[in-house]
Parts: sequence; structure tokens; C-alpha cells
Amino acid sequence: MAPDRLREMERLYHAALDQSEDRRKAYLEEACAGDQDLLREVESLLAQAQAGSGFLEKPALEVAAKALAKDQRAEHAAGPNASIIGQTVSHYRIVAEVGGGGMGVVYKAEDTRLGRPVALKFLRTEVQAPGSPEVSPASHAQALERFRREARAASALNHPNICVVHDVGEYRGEPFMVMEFLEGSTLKALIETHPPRIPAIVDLAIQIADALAAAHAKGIIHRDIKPTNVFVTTSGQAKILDFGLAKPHESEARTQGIDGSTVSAGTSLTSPGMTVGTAAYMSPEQARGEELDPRSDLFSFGVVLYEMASGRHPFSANSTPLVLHRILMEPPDALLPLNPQVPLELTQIIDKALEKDRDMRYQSAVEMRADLKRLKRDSGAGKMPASGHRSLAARRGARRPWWTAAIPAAMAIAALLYLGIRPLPAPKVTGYNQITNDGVMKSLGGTDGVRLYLTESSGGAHWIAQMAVSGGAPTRMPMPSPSYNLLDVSPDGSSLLAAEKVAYADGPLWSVPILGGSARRIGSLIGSSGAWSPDGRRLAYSHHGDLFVAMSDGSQSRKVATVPGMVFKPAWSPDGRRIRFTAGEEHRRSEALWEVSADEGQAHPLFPHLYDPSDDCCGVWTSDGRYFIFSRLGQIWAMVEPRGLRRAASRPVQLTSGATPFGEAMPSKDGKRLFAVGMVARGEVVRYDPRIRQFAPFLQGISADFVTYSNDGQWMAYVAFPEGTLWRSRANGDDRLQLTQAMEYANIYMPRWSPDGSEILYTLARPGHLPKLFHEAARGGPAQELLPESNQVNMDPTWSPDGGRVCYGGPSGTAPRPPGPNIHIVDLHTHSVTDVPGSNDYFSPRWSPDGTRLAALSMDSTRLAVFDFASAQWREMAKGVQLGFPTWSHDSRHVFYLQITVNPAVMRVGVPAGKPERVVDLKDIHTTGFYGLSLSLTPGDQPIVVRDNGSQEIFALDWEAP
Amino acid sequence: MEPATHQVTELLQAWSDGEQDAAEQLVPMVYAELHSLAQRYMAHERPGHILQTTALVNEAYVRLVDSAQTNWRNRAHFFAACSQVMRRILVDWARSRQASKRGGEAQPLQLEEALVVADEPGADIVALDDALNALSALDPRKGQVVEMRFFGGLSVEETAAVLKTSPETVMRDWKFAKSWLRRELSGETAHGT
Repeated sequence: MAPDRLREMERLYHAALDQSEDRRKAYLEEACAGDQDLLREVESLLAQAQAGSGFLEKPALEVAAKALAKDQRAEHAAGPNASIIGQTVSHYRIVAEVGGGGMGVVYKAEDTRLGRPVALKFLRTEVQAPGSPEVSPASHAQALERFRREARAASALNHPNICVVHDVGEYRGEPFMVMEFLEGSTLKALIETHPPRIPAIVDLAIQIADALAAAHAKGIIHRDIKPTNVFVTTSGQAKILDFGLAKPHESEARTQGIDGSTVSAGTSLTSPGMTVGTAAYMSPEQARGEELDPRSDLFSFGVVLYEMASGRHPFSANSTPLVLHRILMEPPDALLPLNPQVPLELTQIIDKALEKDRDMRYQSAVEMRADLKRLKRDSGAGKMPASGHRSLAARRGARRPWWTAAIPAAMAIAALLYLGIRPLPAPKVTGYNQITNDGVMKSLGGTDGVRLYLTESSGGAHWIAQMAVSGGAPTRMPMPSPSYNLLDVSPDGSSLLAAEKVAYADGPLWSVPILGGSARRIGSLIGSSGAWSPDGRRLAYSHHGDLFVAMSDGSQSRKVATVPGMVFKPAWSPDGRRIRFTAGEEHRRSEALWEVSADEGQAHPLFPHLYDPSDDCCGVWTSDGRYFIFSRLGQIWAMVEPRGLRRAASRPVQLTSGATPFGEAMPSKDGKRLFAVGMVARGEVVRYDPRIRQFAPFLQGISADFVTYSNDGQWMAYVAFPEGTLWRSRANGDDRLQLTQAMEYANIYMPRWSPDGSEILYTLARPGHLPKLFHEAARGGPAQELLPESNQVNMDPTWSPDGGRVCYGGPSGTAPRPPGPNIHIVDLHTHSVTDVPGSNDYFSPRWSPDGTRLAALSMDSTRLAVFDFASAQWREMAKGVQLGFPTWSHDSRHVFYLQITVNPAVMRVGVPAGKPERVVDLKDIHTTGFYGLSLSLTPGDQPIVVRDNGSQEIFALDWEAP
Repeated sequence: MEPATHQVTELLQAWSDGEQDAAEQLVPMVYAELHSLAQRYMAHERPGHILQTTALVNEAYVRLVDSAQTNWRNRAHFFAACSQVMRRILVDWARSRQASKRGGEAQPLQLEEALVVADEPGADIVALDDALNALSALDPRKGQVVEMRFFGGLSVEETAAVLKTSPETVMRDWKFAKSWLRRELSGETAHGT
């Protein structure tokens, strides 16, 4: 057959497939024009197209391996392993097969001598592939001896977080290992089904680090730390598995080699070591086949920690080669957008574990354990700041740490830190106008002065849209391909610059006319971001770590800058002489602004002396060239451009502040406003309806936290979220009244109605002050401090049923506090303060409606206890990894509370003696609020929580630019 | 870094710069490594587990290539080279398997589940190799597409990147080539070619 003939066949084949089935035959007959051979050929091909869909769809290696496996099974049918269930191996009676993997099969067995359950693991024997040398008996014995030696080494690791190896043996020539039998699940299964929350992650991590420290101290490296090798028992204990396959550090054998001969059968028997399936957890040095040391385990542990915190792999990619390439070459994906609740310290620990250069990594498991323990201690005090300032996405819902159920003193400290970066007098933003409100994610692309062009995304799809600069609903623009990314708008407003995303690589650049007409490929340029020069004649674009400048038709492309990492978001100075761009991994924390001359190159960082990666990104000049606007740490900043003789750049000033994080700022054409994308926090108040077994919104969709009702159930009070102002209204939402004014960086927590409904008492946390109690009239009036003479943290106020006294607590965790009782009662008539006996270890008091008891939490939030005034005794009611927000039912017979870390749920326990019971699961609800989570009850004792309902919206910021 | 690693890196560099001889030198080197890996891999794999060709290729990649010195283009070329090597390994392996099991014991390597169910004559990798040679003679690009997709385990996008063409073109080639090969292997040729 001639190639031309094949091409003709192919053309007709595709053309016929494009026809509807009933038209196909007629079409072909006409197209073949009497050429019967051609017709038959094409028809026979079309028959194949319709017949099978699985043909060649599985990669060849899988096909081959399957065949091999089948052969093996046939051979083994009469062999040693045929069916071992029910047999007795040594003195172990095999009960069932419980699992297996690349390295062996695991059986549950009974130790007939000691009568305890054990796990038996058989190592898979080497199967000979054709042409490879037979394993000699001598080398087999040698391998077995090494296996025994290593199992002994592992069994010497007597550590609570390492699976114990009791014994080794041999059954019909196959070595096996006897291990303790564990009930629970692998960490992998846990991450997939019940992702642990932060405190549980930290707990497990400390255990794992402790186990690694013990192993490393004995010179043993695990070499295969991964979620399937960490077991979590039903009691929450971490157990590292497969330490028996670890190798003593000193005798590390190199199994690499170009001729393959060094990979001997004997080596394989005991060190499947670099197994294919675990490539994703390899350290860079392991991936390169280099000598390993304990620090390699710490890298793998870092990957595991990252997965625990996010559910995702830090170097995720479509195929294993790309994952390994990323492990070797690229920084991990930013963790925070995946889980904004991860505290900054934990991201730092993970980052340090994932350092590619092992000299820059944690040097020992002991060191890593210390950091984890410190994190655990500090989080108990509420000092752990959620590191949500790192990126826009990370600020979703403006989360605060939720693991303290009371107001931490550190709130004030955090606020003080904010004050340190308060904006300087000028330039400044004077007004914030939200101009979109459609609740989908957005990214700004450019403006022609009349319209804004943006990329919107929702549910995995993205599209280019336009809207009036004055605001309104963005409308979708038709594009030649859905894979276009909007980069820029041409200076004359006629065209959009778009990059076509091709698989995992940068794609071609296109110029798309805004008013219709066909898109034009810009030369053969390939890139990921770009911008037209102010005169529209040139184009700056980025491709991987390089910045190029070309003519706008794509000709004369030349490289002007190369940086480590990625280049993106280039911007031209108004005179067209300089280009500034962002360097760094787009999804990584450390981004920096760079500057380069458009003609002469010589790229250099814009702020070379910055002490810390400050996440600078996405800069753009105002059209008069006087200001350079950029994003830093989730807010918009401006730098006054050097003018005249003063060549040094001025210190940038922060333009925006407050609870809403902003990014992607862009001046309007007239320079009077700045457009920016803001992350709008919104919390929808929902209550659990037991009849429909669901949370349902009520209160007309207000965004609020700490909803609380007056004793008669007629009124409610709440704190607007995220503004932090106190409101009251009737229970049906009427007669709404704002009781406090918005104060920057200040928040009101947990308001409480006085029993007669005349006053509302709350905790106020302000910058520079300790959290204090204030009260004011429910009809409005001046706020008064309850305990002005107190120099301690006062919070969690709760009224006595007669309204004559107020009980309150001090801080929780390890926050500084005076010794002695931590819960006090003030008599509102005499102003005398008494201590609640035995309250040294409790905080967060709640007075029962019948006045007989107090409910409170233990300092470490692991226990809920009730104090009985009659007996003056505390009694423990419930335990857990992390409990919070105790709340009395209106009949005083139950205390509701939140179980936070493991199996999150609204719980309740009967008083005085009851068992904790689950009211409703919280694992499927994404909550928000000032602590990220809170609990209150309706007058009918239905649980109320706050559901996260945040979105990204465009803001037009008024600014004064002197 | 092993001397061999540098050598492979240099050869890849040379190959991506257009020196065809480099590929000839490269393939045997990669072959040795891949062969040992394939053996270990297949030997340790439990029946029923999902294999990833690319994982194997990659293991060779990270062992052989000084990754600091290579760029994306090299990787693409490396994958392409690995596809060729993988084809040789698997075809050789299938041949030796047939040879060692003369007398009808050896079940053919099933290229699709449907064929097993239908109890059709087994479409073997060895037969596929021959058919693929015939296809390549008529349309080399289609041969490459099949080689990379089936033997190399590359995705449509990756294949397109290596061949410097669009994913749509690769998809069309792939579709047509599969129909063509399946017809050849099922013995239903319209007429003798």
C-alpha cells in the first residue's frame, strides 16, 4: 500500500466518523466514487472503530506484567503458597489474609503458644524472568541471613510507635516475619476517609518523629516512609510499619548501576527498596540513587505530613515521571490554599522537611520533633496564628484558630503585630466599593477604561468574562478555545492577549479581537503570561524561568531575563524602558518582584534587602508612572517611584488593610481608582433540623457568628462576620440594631443576654489591650467595662440565673496567667470577686440555667467538666482530643459541646450523669467564623453553626495619590 | 554522580540538539538499566495491581540523567527514547516467553479484555510489533504515536509535546492507528496488502 492511499483512507475514515451513523454508508459510497477497494478498506476500519474500545488502552508493560503474573500464579498453584489459610506455620495458625502489597502478603494468625493474635508477613520470593541468572542456594541463604539480621535490628527498636517484630521464621523456604497485630487503619486510608484536623496531625507527627528519632539513633533508616507504612490504631496511636525492611545505615548497599548486574537477586529479596509504587515519597537524593542517610526519611515524612494537612501530594502531577521531576527540581505546591487552617508554623516545619538539599533540611528527627512539640505547646495557648495571610485563596473565610474555645490573650498580640504595619499617611485608599457579587472565583486580566476583563472559574471550569468598570454582572465572552487564559488587554483596547494552556506545558500566545473576528497566533511564541508595551508595539512574555521581549507580531523574540524558578506577570513601565515581573513559583510562598531593562537586560530584584520572602507579586505601574502597585502578604501596597535626583526607591506603603485580603491590583485608566480582587468572607448561620437531619439556613442569610438568644427566646444578639460588630434583633430578625461601632482589628466575642433581657455582656478584644468584659443596654447605649480595675485577661462571661452575679474565666492553655483559680464570680451589687474552688485547671465557664452548676473545659481542651455548687466538686463529663464551646440546654439537663479534632461533631452529655452522645456530625460541613467554628443553641435547643460562604469579588478602591 | 549519568545526560543533550547517532548510543545503555528494572518490577508486582509504565521509565530517568542539567525538551526526548526501548524489551520478553513455553502452554498476551471474552485468536505483542512496523512504513508518525502511547505509557498531551503537534492530531492518529492495527491483528484485512 502506498502512503498516499493510507492518507486517503484516513481522511475518509475520520470524515465518515463525523457523519451520523445512518448517513455514513451513503457518504462513503459517494466519496469513494466507485473505488470498491477503498470503500472496503475504510468500511473494515470503521468496523474496528466500533468494535472494541479497550484495544491498546492499557500500557504494554501492564499487559506484560499481567501475563507474567498469570504465569506465576499457574506455577505457584501447586507451590508453597497455594492456600495457607487454616494451616499452622511454626506455631502460628493462619486465620486470614489481611493485606498485601508490592513487598509481601500479610496474614492474621494466632500465636498458639501465647494465645495472642499476630500478623505474619511473607516476603515475596524472587521470580525469575527469562534470561536472568538462577539464584544460587548460597546466595539465597545469604539473603535470608541478611533478612534475619535486619528483622533483628528492627525488633531491637523497642518503641511504642514502631510496629513490634516478634519473630522471624521460614516456611517452605519462604521467610516470614511475625509482628504485633494492629487494629485500625493505615494513614493513607485515614487521610482518604477521615482527614485528621490540625491538632491530631500534630499529635501523630510527634509520634512518627519520635519513632524515627529512635530508629535513627540506632543507625537504622526506614527508607520507605509513606502513608501506607504508617498505621493509626483505633486508639489514635501511630505505628510505623515495615521497619523490618529498613537497612542499617552503615551497610547501605547501592543498588544502582548501569549494567543491571549489581541489582542481584539476593539484593532484591531483602531490599525491594526503591519500589516503583513509592516513587512519590522519595527524597531527591533517593530518586537520584545516592547514598541515603536519616535525613532522607525526614523528607519522606515531610511529604506524608503535607498529605495529612492537605489530602494532596506536594508535588502532584499527571504522571509519576513528572512527580519525580518535581521532587528533584520544583518547590512543593503551596499548602495554604488547600487548607487555610494550617498554622504558619506547621507549613514552616513541612517546608523545612521538604528542602531538596539535605544540608538545609531538618538535620535530625529529634530537631523536627522539637519543632512539632513546640507547635503543639503554643497552639494550646492559642498562639498559633493561622497563616492565612499568605495568599488570597488562603484567606477564604478569614479563618482564625479554632482550637481554643475561649478568647486567647494572643488575639491582642496578633492585633499589635498588625498595628506595626499600619499604613503611612499617603498615598492611601479612602473607599472600598465591591463591584461584583456573583460568588465565583475571579482573576483580573485588564481594562480598556470602560470595561474590565477577567477570568472567572467555578467547579473546575474557567472562562473569560467582561463587565463595566462601574460594576454589575460579568458576562461570559465567546472564545475560540476553552483553554485560553487571559493575560492582558491591548493599550488601544481592541484585543485580548491570551495563552493557550497545552497539557502541562506553556502554550501558544494568541491575540483575540474583542469585537469578534478570528484569533491570531502571535508568531510562534509560547508562554504562560505576558503584557503588551504601552505603545502596543512590543510584547513581554514569560516562558518557564525566562522573560522575553518580542515585537507584537511575534517577530524578533529575545530573552531579556532568566531567574531561578518561574517568571510571571510582566508589567511595562509607562515609558516602555523597564519591565518588572514576579519571580518564583506561582503557587509557592516566596515570590519576589524583579526589574529588568527592556533593551539591555540585567535583571535584579526590586527589593534586594528584604529580610524575608514577603510574597510580593503582580506589580503594575500607574499610567503616569508615579506609583508602582503590587500585592504583599494579602494586601495592596504602593511604592512611590523615584523621581529627579533621588534614584533610590522609596519604602513601599500598605494601601489596604482589614479583614478582607486583596490581590491583583490594577489602576483604572484615569488613575483615580484601583481595581483589586478581594476575598469576601461570609458566614451563613445554619441550624440543625433533626426532622430533616440537615443544617438549614435561617435568619434571612445574615453573615454572623455567636448567635445567642435572650432567656424568653424573643430576642437575639450576634456578631456580624467578618466585621466584628455587635447587633441585636428580635428572634425573627425584625428591629435590628447595631450596638457597637466597627473598630479596626477589634472583635467582640460571645455576647450574653442578662436574664431580664435588659443588657448584653460580651468580651472585647482590642489591639494593645487584654481581652475584657463589657456590657451595654440592649436598646443601645454606652458600653461599660465590667471589671475596670482588673489587670488580667477576662473572658467567657456567663450570668447567674438571677442576674446578680457574673461568672467569667481567664485564658486557656499555657497562656500567662496568675497562679490559682482561673474561674471567678463577681457580685454585681458589691463588686466583690470570689474564686470558683478547684478551677485552676479550667476555663470557659458556663452557668447552668437552673443556677446549680458550671460547665467548663480543662486547660488543654481535652475534657469537659461540671462544677456542682452544692458539693463544690468538679466532675468530668466527657473527654476527647479537642473539645470546645460548652453550651447548656435550656432545661439544664444536658451540656452540648463541639468535638473538634477527631470525628468532628456536635455532642451532648447528660447532667449530672450521662454518656456523651453524638447529636450531629460536622465532617461534611465547612464552617467559618472568628474561630473558624462555634456552637450555640436555638431556644428549642437546635445546634447553630456558621457555614463558610465566602467568595472572590472585584473591588474598586478609591485612593488618594498625592 | 556516576560517570554513566553524565554520559547519558550528554547523549540526551546531543540527541535533542539533532545528533541522531546519540540515540543509537543511548538506547543500549538505557536498555540495560530498564531491563533490570522491568524484571524487578514485574517480579514484585502482585497480580491485580495496577502498573504504571511511566513509573518505570521514570525510575530510569532519575537514575540515569543528571536532572540539574536537563531541560524539558530533553525529558520529552527521553520519554520518546524510553518508548522505543520499552518496545524492544517487551517484544523480546514476549518472544522469549513464547519460546520457553512451546507446546501451547503460553497464553497470548491479551491486548484487550474483549478479545479474551470473545475467545478470538490472541493478539500478541509480538504480532503487534510486526503490524506496527508495517504501519510505520506507511506513516511514521502514527507508528510513533502508538509507540509512545502504548509502549511508553505517555498521555496524549505528552505525545503531542514530543511530536511537536497538537493533541487533537495525536488523538486522530491514535484512533485511526488502533483501528488499523486491530484489523491487522484480527486477520480481517479487507484484502491482501
